[in-house]
Amino acid sequence: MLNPLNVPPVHNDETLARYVLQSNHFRSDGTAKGDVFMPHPYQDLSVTRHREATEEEIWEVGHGVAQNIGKALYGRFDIQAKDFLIDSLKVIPDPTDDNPNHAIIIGWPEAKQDQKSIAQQIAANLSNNPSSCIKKILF
Amino acid sequence: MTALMVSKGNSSAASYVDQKRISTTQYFSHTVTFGKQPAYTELLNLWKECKQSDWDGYKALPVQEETLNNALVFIYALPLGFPLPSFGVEPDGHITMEWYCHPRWLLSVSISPDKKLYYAALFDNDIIKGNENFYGDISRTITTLIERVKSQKNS
Repeated sequence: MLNPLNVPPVHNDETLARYVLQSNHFRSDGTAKGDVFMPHPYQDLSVTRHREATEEEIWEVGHGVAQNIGKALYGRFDIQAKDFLIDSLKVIPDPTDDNPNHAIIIGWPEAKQDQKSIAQQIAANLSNNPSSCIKKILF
Repeated sequence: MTALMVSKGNSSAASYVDQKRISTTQYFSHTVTFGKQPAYTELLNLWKECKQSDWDGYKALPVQEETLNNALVFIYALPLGFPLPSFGVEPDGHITMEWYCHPRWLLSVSISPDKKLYYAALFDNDIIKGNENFYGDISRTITTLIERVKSQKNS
């Protein structure tokens, strides 16, 4: 994981994980629904950076999130930081006590339909990647 | 399903039309082809799964009973022959209904507890979005978008 005392900015070619704790956030073919990338009613969207993290560590963070709420972790979507850069969105580091790799997507428009449209485009961008489907739990 | 009926008027003629509409709809609702029962069941299960806050691990708001009812009415109002959507939930507790062909050809409609619809559609590079009130009838805007998704699926 990243050194909490020296967290670098997020590069466009970094891979970010978004954990899935809801079975309806992905389709039967494993592709992401836009719903999984919706921030509303909040102003930002949480992700975890792969940078300097092992597969085990990335899954550990997801399991931690699931454990906190007593729900199952279905998997995660891995998405390039550049695929989030739609309209005014930005990806910035946001290390927390238990996850130095935590980052947030900020700059979302106010109107809900605008957020929905952007979330839909993020999911569509993700579908261009070879590993676009939900990654099932490995550890 | 009677609880989901929305009356169209107060005259005897309106009442007659309402009754005919109800009996016809109830008949088709029990057929395999037009049945909506699987959608009602799925919505109910979704609500049970997400009626507590933080259902997504990212501090999501709970799905309120009013939101569930509005989604049930929406599905009830969906004209016969229209494809049923798949359902989801957003972190603000709104229920989403998605008509999907592929990741760049789809429509998503969110329904809120206060009878507001928010929609976004992607047809390759054509982006359509907006919001409207929902009083029991599905607007021409939404049905046209559903038909556009469906037309690509059938082509």
